[in-house]
Amino acid sequence: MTRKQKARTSTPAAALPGQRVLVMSHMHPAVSHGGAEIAAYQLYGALRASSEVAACWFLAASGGKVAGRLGARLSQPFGPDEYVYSGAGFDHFIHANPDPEWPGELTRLLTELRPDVIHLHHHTNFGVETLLTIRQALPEARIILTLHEYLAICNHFGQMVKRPSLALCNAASPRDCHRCFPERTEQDFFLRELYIKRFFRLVDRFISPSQFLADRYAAWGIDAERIVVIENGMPAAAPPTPRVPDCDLTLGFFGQISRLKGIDVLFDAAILLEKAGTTGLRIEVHGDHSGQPPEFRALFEARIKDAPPNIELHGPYANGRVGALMARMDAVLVPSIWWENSPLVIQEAFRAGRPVICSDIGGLAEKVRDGVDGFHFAAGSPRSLAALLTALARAPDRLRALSARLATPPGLDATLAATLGLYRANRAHAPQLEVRSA
Amino acid sequence: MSLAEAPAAPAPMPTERPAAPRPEDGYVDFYGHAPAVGGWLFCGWSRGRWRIDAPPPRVVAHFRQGRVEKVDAIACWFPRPDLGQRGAGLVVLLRAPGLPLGELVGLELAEAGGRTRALLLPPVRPVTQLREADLVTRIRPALLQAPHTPDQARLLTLLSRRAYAGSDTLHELPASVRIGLDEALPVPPDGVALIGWCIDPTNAIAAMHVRGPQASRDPAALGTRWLRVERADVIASVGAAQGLTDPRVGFVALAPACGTPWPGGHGEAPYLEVELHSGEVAYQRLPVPMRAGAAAARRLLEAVRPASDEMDHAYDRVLGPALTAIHKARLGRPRPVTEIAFGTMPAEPVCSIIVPLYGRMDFLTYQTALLSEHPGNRAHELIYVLDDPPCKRELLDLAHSAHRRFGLPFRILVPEENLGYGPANNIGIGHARGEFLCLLNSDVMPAPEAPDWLDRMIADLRADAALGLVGAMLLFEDGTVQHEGLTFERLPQQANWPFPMHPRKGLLPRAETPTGPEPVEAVTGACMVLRRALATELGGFDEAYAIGDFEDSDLCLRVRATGLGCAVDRRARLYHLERQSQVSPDNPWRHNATLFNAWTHTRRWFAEANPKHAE
Repeated sequence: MTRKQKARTSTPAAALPGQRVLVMSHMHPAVSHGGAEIAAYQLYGALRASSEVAACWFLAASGGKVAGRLGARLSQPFGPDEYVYSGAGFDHFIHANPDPEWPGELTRLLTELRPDVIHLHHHTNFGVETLLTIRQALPEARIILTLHEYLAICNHFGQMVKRPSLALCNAASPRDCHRCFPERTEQDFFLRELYIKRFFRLVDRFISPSQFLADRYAAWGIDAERIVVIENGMPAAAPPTPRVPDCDLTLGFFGQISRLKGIDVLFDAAILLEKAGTTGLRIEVHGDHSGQPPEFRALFEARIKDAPPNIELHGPYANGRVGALMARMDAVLVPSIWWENSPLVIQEAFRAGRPVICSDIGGLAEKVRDGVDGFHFAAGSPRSLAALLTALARAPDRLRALSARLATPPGLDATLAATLGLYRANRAHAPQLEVRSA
Repeated sequence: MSLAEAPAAPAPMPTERPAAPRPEDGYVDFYGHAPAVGGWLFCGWSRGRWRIDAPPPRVVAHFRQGRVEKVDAIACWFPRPDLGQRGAGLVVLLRAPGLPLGELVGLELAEAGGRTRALLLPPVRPVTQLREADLVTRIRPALLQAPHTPDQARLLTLLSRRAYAGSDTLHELPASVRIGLDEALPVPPDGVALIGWCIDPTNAIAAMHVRGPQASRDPAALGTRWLRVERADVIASVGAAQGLTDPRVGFVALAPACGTPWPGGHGEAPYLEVELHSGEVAYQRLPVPMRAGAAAARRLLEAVRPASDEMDHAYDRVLGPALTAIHKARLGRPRPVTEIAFGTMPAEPVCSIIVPLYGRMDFLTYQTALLSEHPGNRAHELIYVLDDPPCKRELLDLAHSAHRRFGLPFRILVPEENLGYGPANNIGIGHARGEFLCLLNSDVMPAPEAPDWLDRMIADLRADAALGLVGAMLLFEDGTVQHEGLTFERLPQQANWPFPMHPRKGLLPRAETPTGPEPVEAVTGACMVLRRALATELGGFDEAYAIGDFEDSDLCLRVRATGLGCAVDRRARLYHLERQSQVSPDNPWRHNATLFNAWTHTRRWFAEANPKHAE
């Protein structure tokens, strides 16, 4: 828990047992397995179990994955307290939902449920105008928005890397964004920002899973006082199994195999290590690349064919097995070439008692303390990664020694406590009108 | 020079009534209008006559409903043995259009110097008016007997002209003249603008006219309203064979009133008449008009690229009158408007915000999203005018969605056709109900730090009765100034006409905090607020301006002409996403449209002082 968050939640709040909470998520985890919807649904489950919550509902957008009923916007395929909104025509550029029926449908639902708190994970699929609909329907309700990625800031899937180079980007501006997307004018990007911020001003509190992401949003113009850092904690798990040392240092990559996840950095480092004749380590790649664009798939499959013997593709894995797979590793590799926010794989590694070797940027550098929870290397640099791995192969105990002192990942109970504290906090006063410094 | 055997005292020739009884000077035996010859022919006899070599007389033809005078006249005397010593035969040609003037009352001939009495020749009764063919048949034998003078030869040549018979006869001329007519554009009500080329290497052409079945109201030759334009294609094809190198063989010319509304009924089309110095004429048909209205205007604007020293002539003589007439006729038609309301507007709005939409319909989404944030805007009414009718379906979908999402009521007015920025605003003004009007562009967006911009501008007008119109400070998206008031500056590269300038454009706003409205010469129409009563009294934007510039400046100047002031309140800050390169060398017509507006603006407001040669 960060200093800022403590300050926020320690304010004496009127005890308001029996809160009514509506959790909204851009997808339903029954049909989609992204981190945001899983986090939202876990929170929903924890809230329902909490004695402080009188009623709790889950409203997910279908994202095209749940067929709606003809002529109806809301359906209940997953039980009495869960709703699915089926709309179409979402505008990913300005995160707008032009569905003219949605404001009325949502208003009817809100009037019926009368939640005290509406907690949104993500604004995709619902649209940022949904914040206005909520505010107009329930002027006294608290609106909480958990941010995922840098979606409001960056049109490049919210990842703040340049197009097409994938170079790291530090700040959005109409001029720079137009360079990444020449098909959109500078004015379009300016309008995009005006539009999204107009509705963000209706949010009482933003939750950011990382300080890094909070800082980026603050730099973008969101009042820093309104952003609270709360990690999306995971449910409790079995205690880590100690590593049975064998002769080679074993390092694992887990997750989606994509360019932004740094898969090329990893393979290039393996080639460098092979050329240098470095021995005493091997790399396992666990994950799926079937959902990637065809050009990437072709390139990646060629890489696999020519890969040196020190790196090996193990393919997709069931999420429930990740702990067991990680237990076989000495460390988990996270070579992402974008900033990340608070990647789940880091929490999973820590829960498995394994240190993390990661790029030295953004949410990665924040969550993994260099030399404490793992080691950093220069983001995007195979040479830097190869040098680090060479050093660790020579002295594997440096890495294995970390396992005992790793950070404890926040649990779901901690997330619940912090989130409830936020719900209890007084509503934000009239949202401050932020002025963009040109 | 003197009149021989001059009889009786002079008497003014009445036009309305027959001449008073008195000894006649002679008679007109027959007369008529001969279009091929190019005027009125009179044949008769006279007791008095001039010397053969005298300068041509001043001739006035009096008809029951008017007279023909001050035109080129040729008079030839010929022998009339039947009259003996009592007089001589006389043929007179008055080169004038054949207007319907009623029956001839008499012909008045005066010595060029005018010191002696005029001859008065009434028609023989019953009055004999003949058609061209009969006139020529009867006059030619008489003329052949006349003394051989230059006038006699000229008149004979004119009489030998054949009338236009619907076919091109240029090739029959005894001169190397080639004319290509690419396009004829109707200029309402009865004018024609011609776009083409003309090759006349020996300068054989004396004059060209656009003639028609009905007589022209404008006797001036086409050459007086003629712009030379480059036609490299013509030189490359036709001109090369004749060794021509100057590409300026193209032309845009205007016949502002050729007498024949066109395209009209009865298949009657005007034609081009080419007259040589030697007197011969030939004809060329005009191409069938393919464009009218805005398309015709655009074709004209595309055809020319006058240099800065040619602009006055180009716009005064050809482009200005042609475009003004085309524009006026286009906008003169009725303007049916459909109104679609989204939500319920306040019963008595303080201000009516009028926004024309063209091109980008999605600006409505942004604008209503941002305007809906300030509760004070609920006191006003918002009116969109669609000036891009093909976008109607897209707009109505967006509008429905925007209204449902943001809850801000507004109306959309849909005229049946694209009318242009000024007329679109005027339609909005006609439907407005507020005490005040805010004319706003669709790409102007409220800034989060100044949500009360409109209330402030209205307060300025309420606080100062001497203030007529107030503008806002408009910023680019990077926070630099787009507008904080207009000044006028004469641009030497644009005919030295005054253009509205944006001082401090592109620079960061001044640091000192404004405390109230500041007087300026004019403000941009992108955001201006004035009382509706004043706007109505002034008739809104002047629709003489095309497409959308200068009408805002014009309105400001008209407000100031009433004695009221214009000001900018820099505390009212909005963003203006002024689009890039509306005017670029790539679209000369757009550039020329701006010049047309500048010309209109200049002639209206800066007619008195033109220090063109002072610099």
